[in-house]
Amino acid sequence: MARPAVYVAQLLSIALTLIVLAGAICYVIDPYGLNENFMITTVNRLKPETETHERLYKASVISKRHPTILALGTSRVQRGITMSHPAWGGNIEDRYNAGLVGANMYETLKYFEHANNTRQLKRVVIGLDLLAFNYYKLNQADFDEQLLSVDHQDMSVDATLHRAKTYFSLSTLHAVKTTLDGNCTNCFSPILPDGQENPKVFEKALDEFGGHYALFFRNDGVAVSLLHFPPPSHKFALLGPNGESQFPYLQRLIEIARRDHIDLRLFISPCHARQWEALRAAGLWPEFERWKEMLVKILAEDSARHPTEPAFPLWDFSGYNSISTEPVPVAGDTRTQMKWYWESSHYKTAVGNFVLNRIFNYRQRDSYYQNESEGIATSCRTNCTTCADTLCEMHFGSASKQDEIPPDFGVQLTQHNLTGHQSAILADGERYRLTHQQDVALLDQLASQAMADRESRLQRSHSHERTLPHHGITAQKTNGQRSRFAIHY
Amino acid sequence: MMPQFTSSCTYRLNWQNIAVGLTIFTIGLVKKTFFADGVAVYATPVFDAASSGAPILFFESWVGALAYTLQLYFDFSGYSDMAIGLSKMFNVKLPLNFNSPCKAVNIIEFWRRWHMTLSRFLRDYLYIPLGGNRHGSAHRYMNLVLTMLLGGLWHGGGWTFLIWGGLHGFYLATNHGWQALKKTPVFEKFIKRKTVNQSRAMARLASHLLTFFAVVIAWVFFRASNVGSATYLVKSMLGLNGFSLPESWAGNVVGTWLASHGATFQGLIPNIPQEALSAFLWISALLAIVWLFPNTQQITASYQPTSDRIESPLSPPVLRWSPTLPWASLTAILLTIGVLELNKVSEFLYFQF
Repeated sequence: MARPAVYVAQLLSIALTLIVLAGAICYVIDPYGLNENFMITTVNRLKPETETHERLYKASVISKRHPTILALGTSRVQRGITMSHPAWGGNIEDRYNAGLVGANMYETLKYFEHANNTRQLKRVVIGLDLLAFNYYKLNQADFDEQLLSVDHQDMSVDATLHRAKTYFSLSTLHAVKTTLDGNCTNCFSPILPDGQENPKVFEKALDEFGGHYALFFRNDGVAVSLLHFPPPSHKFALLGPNGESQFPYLQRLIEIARRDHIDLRLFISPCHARQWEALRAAGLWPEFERWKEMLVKILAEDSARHPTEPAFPLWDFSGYNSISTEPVPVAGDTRTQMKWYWESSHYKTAVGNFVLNRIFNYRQRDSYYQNESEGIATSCRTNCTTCADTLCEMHFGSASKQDEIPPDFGVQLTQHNLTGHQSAILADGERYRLTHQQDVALLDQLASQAMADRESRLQRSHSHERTLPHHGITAQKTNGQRSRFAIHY
Repeated sequence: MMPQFTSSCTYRLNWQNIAVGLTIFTIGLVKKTFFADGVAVYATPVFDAASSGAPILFFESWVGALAYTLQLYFDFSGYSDMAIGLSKMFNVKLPLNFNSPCKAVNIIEFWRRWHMTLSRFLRDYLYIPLGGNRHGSAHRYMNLVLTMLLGGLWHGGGWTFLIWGGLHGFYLATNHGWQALKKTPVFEKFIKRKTVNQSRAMARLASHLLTFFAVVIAWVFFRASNVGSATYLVKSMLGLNGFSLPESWAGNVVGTWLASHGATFQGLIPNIPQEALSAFLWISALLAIVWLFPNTQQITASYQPTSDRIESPLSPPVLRWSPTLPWASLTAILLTIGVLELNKVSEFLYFQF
């Protein structure tokens, strides 16, 4: 054989060997938890990379485990809602928390459809947040519709192939390294098997920031800027320039739930009062009220179309109640642990349990333990005072000791009680501000600073309203690496 | 180009051409998927942030502008290499399109090395029909500017492209004017008296850097989404919008002194999710490649892969490709990297949230 032919053969065979080898390593170590075929303790049992690839990971878990009972929403649901609460019903392995950090309503709809197309859903609870209904809230960078079975026809073949491609990638090879490093004795997986975020993630954050006070403070700044005014546009609006919005995605979800007889329940997140104060300071209170009106209207329309079936309930846990007004430790206090909240945006599992108790009308304490593993159940029942520090606390939160929900926590919204409810919250807010003047002044200051930043940004941008890559059917693939000349040359 | 298709040799399997072509294709693939996409993460957020009106200060504007310059070069020359390599595998020689443009010591030379097929097109179908240099120097400069303005518009309909073309027209006219000035007797006398070898090398380096700077500034207009953000970025590159330093400097002596002169401490590259150090390393490594390394065609020059002859300097013997096992192994590693980089797994950026 001639020398150049030998060269070509050598080149291709070496390259093929290397590529196959890389794929095999990525498959076995499986940094994103896509196959979970080789789970070796201290090697790859823990999946630290799922924290930054949760959309990929959760899409894959849904395809594999095809849950029929789902929690959906943003990071608030992902952090606060446990699937081990018995009120969920069904088998525990059929339940999954598919909450996604920073998800807009479009992403939530797509994960709902993905799960429902994988296997018909039975029961779904959605945590709703104003930020997810911001027209300017784009899909997150790791949202990839190709990972999802979005219609019954193509089902999951394409999605499976698309996921298989991720084994052949330098980024996955890099993730292999972080996975191997992240399997030490003190390490943990950021996402629990049921899809809830591992509470250790926040415990660590609490340590790093130096207690709740610092975490609340940081969160105040985020709430009046990036959270509700996300990049690249740094804007908030329920309706776009031509009346487009995220509401149709919720309507679509409701239609599917009706069509497939899914037990759908919705709730507005039980954030801390400081979060609502941040909304007010950022000038979003009217939008917040309008948003609730829209939600109630959409559900009332659905209910009118289906008079013989029970209405999908919408519970409002926002506002100023005995849970959400939990005092925040003062500056310098790095040790006091809050009972209900991590910071103003994220409630703890204990609050999530109250939410579930309320929306499933779940009260009987005894059956609370029935479905749980015997060991935990016994220790909890015999000596409840030690529960606080045991696994039991992690599983049930404080609700296990105290399943009495405060009566002011959670109101089911209807067209009839909405106006009264809104004005009650308004009055509660005024009372809250009287007793928390310092916090409120700080929030106002942060909000006006953020607003000034946005204004100077707007002046600098000389913006002719740029067309944004948006969520929705025409959503562009956001791989963040647009090459200008590829378009122009 | 076209006569190749009438030759019967073109339709025969030629292992040598396949070997050379595959190698060039692989280099092009790595340029695109590893280098261009790798450095793009430092360019895209800066231009996006600038168009949304975020403050971009001195260091960050330079990171964005240099990263984009490198992204564009590796992206486009990578594609060109891939095309040249593929054609070569089928026994067809394409014209050369890039010949180390960043090594140019003046703008005239830059356009003889950058997107050479476009330069030729503009010369033959715009500049010469407009009259070229046949009607005196004033006309010539006007024709240059006009050609480049139209060349700018060819890239896209927008003020930014027009300004990019206008800048290059101005650069070229200035360059030609300077060369004409150098030929005047008075100037020649002055230069001859002054020049010694050492200062000539310095002058070469200076004109190299000046050329590169001028090109980078023009690319800012080319990439920015509007004229406002482009001029803002250029101002920042000149230091007119202030300086932001690492947060950790805030307390120390130097930091305090700099703060009293207007520096802030929001980090060197606050709009880019990556570390400042990695930006620095990527940009320096890629600049070293474009300035110091032989290009693809120089590496494979003994096999004449393009229809243009590769002139000296050829690459040093150790970097001259031949169909041997070491080169096969090296190219295989590059091919593996190139292929594995095709599948990027995008991750959630807390930074944006």
